[in-house]
Amino acid sequence: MTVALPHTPDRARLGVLVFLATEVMFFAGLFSALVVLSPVKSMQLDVALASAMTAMLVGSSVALHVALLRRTAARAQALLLAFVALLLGALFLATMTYEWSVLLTAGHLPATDLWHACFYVLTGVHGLHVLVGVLWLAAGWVGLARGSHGRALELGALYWHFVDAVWLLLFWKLYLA
Amino acid sequence: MTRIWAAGLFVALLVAVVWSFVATYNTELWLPQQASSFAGEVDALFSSILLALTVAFVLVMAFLIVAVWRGAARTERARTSHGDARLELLWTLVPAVVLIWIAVAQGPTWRAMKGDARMLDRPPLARVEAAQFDWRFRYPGADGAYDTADDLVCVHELVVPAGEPVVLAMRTRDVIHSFFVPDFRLKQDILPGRDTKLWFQAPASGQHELVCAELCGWGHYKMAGSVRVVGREEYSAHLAELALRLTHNGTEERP
Amino acid sequence: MSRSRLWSLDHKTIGVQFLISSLVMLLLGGLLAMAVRWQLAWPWTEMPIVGRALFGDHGRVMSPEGYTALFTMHGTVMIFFVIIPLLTGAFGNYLIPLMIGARDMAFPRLNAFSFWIMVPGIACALAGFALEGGAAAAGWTAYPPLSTVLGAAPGSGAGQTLWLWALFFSGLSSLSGAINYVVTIVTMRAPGMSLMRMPLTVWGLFVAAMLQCMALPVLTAATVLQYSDRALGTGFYSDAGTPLLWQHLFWFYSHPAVYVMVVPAMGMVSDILSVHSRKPVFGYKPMVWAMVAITGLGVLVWGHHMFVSGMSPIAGTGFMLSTILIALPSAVKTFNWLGTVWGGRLRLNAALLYALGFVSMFVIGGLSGIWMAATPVDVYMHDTYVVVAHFHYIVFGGTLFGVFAALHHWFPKITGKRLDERLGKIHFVGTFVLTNAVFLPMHQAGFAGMVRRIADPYAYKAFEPLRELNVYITIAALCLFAWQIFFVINLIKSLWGGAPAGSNPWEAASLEWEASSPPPHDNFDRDVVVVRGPYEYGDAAGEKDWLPQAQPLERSTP
Repeated sequence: MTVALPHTPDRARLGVLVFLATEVMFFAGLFSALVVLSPVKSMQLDVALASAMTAMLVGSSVALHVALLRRTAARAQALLLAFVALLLGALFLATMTYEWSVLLTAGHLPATDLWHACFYVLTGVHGLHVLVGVLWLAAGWVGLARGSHGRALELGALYWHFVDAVWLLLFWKLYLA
Repeated sequence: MTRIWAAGLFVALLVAVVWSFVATYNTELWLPQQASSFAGEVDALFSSILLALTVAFVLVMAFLIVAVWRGAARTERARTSHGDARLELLWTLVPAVVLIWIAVAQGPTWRAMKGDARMLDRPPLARVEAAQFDWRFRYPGADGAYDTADDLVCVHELVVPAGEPVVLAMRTRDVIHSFFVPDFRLKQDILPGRDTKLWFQAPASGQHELVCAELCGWGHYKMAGSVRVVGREEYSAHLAELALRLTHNGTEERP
Repeated sequence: MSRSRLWSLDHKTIGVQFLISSLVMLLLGGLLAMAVRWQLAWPWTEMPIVGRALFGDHGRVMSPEGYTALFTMHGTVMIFFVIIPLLTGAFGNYLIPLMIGARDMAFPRLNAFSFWIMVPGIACALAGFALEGGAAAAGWTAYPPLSTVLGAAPGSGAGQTLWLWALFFSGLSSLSGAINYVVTIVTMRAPGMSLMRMPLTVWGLFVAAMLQCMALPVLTAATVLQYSDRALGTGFYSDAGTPLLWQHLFWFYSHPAVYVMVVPAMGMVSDILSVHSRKPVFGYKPMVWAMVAITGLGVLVWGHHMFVSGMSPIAGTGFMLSTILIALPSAVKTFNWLGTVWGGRLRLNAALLYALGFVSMFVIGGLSGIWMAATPVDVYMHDTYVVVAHFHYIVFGGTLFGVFAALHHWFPKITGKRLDERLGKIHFVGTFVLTNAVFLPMHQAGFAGMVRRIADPYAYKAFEPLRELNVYITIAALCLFAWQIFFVINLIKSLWGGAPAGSNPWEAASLEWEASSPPPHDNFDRDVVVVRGPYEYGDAAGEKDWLPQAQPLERSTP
């Protein structure tokens, strides 16, 4: 006697989603410092630059999404778009490094005060996530280029959109505050 | 036979637990003397909860022991039973009632102890200054203000008047310490960077040990202090003596 | 052991790896406890035999710095490297796929990662002892500023940094395991294995995994902030920020962690009680809902560790209410265990005895917790030995007895051999008696006001009368430790010469007993189909007194 399952569940996707749920709790823990301590904003941040960074991540997410939608219909286009997404992510990291170096040389150190502490820890941990995301997308892109269906890229996209969402929250709470 | 010693072990546990509480009741292995206005209420709450716990424990163990005793000798098959909704309801509701009673019964004492603004807003009698690994106590002196020249400071022993509410402002110079006077049934952590308030009223004179209850480093174990409760006159005399010592030392050393 | 075996991706091998590493760490954690007990009974005296080797530099006796590191590492080792990996790592790994009829975990490589990432964690935790300044010494709770200000505590230099890394690695291990268990249970159950047909063991591990997914990342965030305070000089937990932030974040994880440390044991004990009483679990659904309720409420009760911390008394009242509420599902579970054994035909073997031991001592630990839910009483009991007695009754009397029960119950499945019953019973009797001899009198020490974490209680005049009591507890603890030799002998003896177990020595109904013992690489030699719940025992079951979960329906109904 065999009973067929009604559907084959997508384990890897569920795994990534559960992982993202844990990431939500992780960032919630970090954000609680900002919420509970509510430090006074004590540094001038370059909102224009941050807006450009926002555009990079949002643009990257959109490009990646479209790439995944078109991966069977228009493979070359999908590869190009995914590459653009990857580049935008890398560009974000480069911009962030530039922003940090400007701030640090101007004497804004993590230890300066609580606002600085929150800023550096939150953007720093987020930056690490972007770095992981870029590596993930790069691996996914190589897979897609070698002719796979782009499974790793598809899962990476879930993570990438999440990292994007966290940035939007950071942009709102740190730069626009 | 296994069932004899197995059931015996659980009987022994039941007896040992009940005995351990009965045998030590009101000895030096029990709650210490009651020396604050809260102590009686806390102990009453403690004892009534203990009574409820004992009843629950005895019942559970009795059923367990009978089940073991009968079950191990049973030769016919167990009766298949997947549960009983009425029983579930019963043993959810009965503990619920007891728990609600506990939740309600503790309210007044808790509010009096930690949330009584009428007490906590009074000017503090003294400031407790905790540091690794000793207690200092600072009375404001004649000007009523802290950190002025006439502050009266003493180490290790806090002297307070009996029969009146005592408010303390507490500070720490380094890590978290906790002001714990077992005889008062009172404990309060002292956090860095803020004044933590605490109040109590000790009805009678006496000497009470002060314990640090929060791990504060290698010397945590030796951070002992004491609280001496004295009559109003003796209290005034004590402050006067502290003041005398302050001026005496302060003036004679200088030319 | 060959290389392929060591690097195996098989959930059973990984489970056994977790089991071995946790048992070794249990031995170490136990030794640390013995040293703690020695100091409490005979402070500043030379330990026989080992004193010279351990404390040669300090005139052969323990230093107060050493003592703070000892209890810090005892707690850290026992919680992060023994109890949690024993339950979720060892039994979670071994049992989940077998009990739901899967051939492996959803992500075998992630599973292997979850074990191997624990190795650097253990290394970091232990390396502290070799450092100048010693291992972390700020308590397993690592409250700032004691843990963040360099020089505040003896181990607050590199020892504390290593401690944070140890927690990070152990967190990665737990988290990758938890994600794996959730996905495996949701997606890989055999046909017919509905959620409400899962054995309570699986339910316990399932809710524990979900609890870890919710709570553990918050601890990781808290350690990131502590690391930043220490390494970058930020002030999240200083007076500019607040030390209470750490306490909130820490207990947001660490109270749920207590449920992670007991709920899977509750599940295993439920199964063991049922099998060896030859009776279905009484009130299966209430048992499941109680576990779910414990999980849900579990993330709302953390503040009861902070009643005297300086937290607002109104928040205290809220946490008091949620704490009172969480006592209810625990009570429901206890009564259902009694309902399970009541009227059963008990096989008083070692496995059942340990399970009954679990119930009786979990009750003690659970009941004494109610004192701590009553805020004014907790003000007195907080950080005293009543708390130490309370959580040791849960984690030692409860969880560890559950683990011994589970080892006796599933050892035949894991190894194909039975554990020796006589040695098992000898081990049970001594361990049961001595566990109570150690932890029961700790209540009295706490009543008298004795606080935790003090290297020399008798520095306080008030605790001088407790000297005799502490000497007695220490002697009992040394005996308890020594008594574990019977367990070690039993393991070794049974591994070499134990009686062959066969695939189902207990006539148990759940799926793992369909597989041979030990199960082959893919667990089952045929596709299993689940046709009924896991607890069909007793007089309604048929010609035998049990019906296996996986027996095809046609065969049982004529």
